[in-house]
Amino acid sequence: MTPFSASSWSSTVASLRKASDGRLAGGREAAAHFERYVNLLFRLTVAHRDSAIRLLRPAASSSVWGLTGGHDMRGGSAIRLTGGRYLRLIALLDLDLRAGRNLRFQALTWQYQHAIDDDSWVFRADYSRSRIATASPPRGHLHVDGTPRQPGVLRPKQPLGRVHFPCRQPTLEAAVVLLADEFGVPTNAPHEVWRAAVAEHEARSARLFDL
Amino acid sequence: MRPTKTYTLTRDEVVDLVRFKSLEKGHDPAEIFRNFAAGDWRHFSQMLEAYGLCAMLPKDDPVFSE
Repeated sequence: MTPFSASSWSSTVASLRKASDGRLAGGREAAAHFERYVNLLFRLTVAHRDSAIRLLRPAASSSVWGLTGGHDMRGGSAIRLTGGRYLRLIALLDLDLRAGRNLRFQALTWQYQHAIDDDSWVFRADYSRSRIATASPPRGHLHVDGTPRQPGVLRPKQPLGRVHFPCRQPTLEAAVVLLADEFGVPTNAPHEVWRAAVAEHEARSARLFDL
Repeated sequence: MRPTKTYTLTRDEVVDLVRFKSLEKGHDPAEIFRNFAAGDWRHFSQMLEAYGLCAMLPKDDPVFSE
């Protein structure tokens, strides 16, 4: 689908709104709404038309889900972007049984990379509801691969890519804005359409994090 | 963007997939199961899919103590 006018995206925007409401309503259907939301968000913005995501759930329970890029269960987890590069995406979600069975992230990582399945990454955001035991980074943080221009600013033997820049809630909407506005990844819908949609839903997405 | 695929996995499929994802990234699957059970999600980004699959198993699943 490659429509050029804002009106041709109206049904996608309406479906996105419905999926956004559904994911935040909680309960057993929330994960399906979340999957739909992610699919539509990327369809509206930076996803290549052949890209895909998959939802994994256990047969024995319906309160834990995994969402990753790609269709192949034994394949990688990258989403192909319009610009020819990739966003590696893995999200672990569950229902908060103490708080109205609301959907929430247990863990999340998204990484912009040059190739589909290698270490050619540019930046990455990680989020873990529980602390990672081997260190104490902020629950949400950003990594950037690169080399500082100034010598001696990093601890010995610590590359810049291992620095945890605090980033409280690395939403998927933030990833989309970063890719489109700062890295020039082309979007499918016109700017005024996808920007309005992201603005509408990003603050609501924060509810999936530290609650 | 193509329609999303949904997979519903049995316990044995989950365990098998964790083993596959661990070996694919050069890790011993037993180590990944042990790390998860201990709350030590090391190699966080690289192994998050495997840890997510571990989270789909009951906490007392025998695979965590093998």
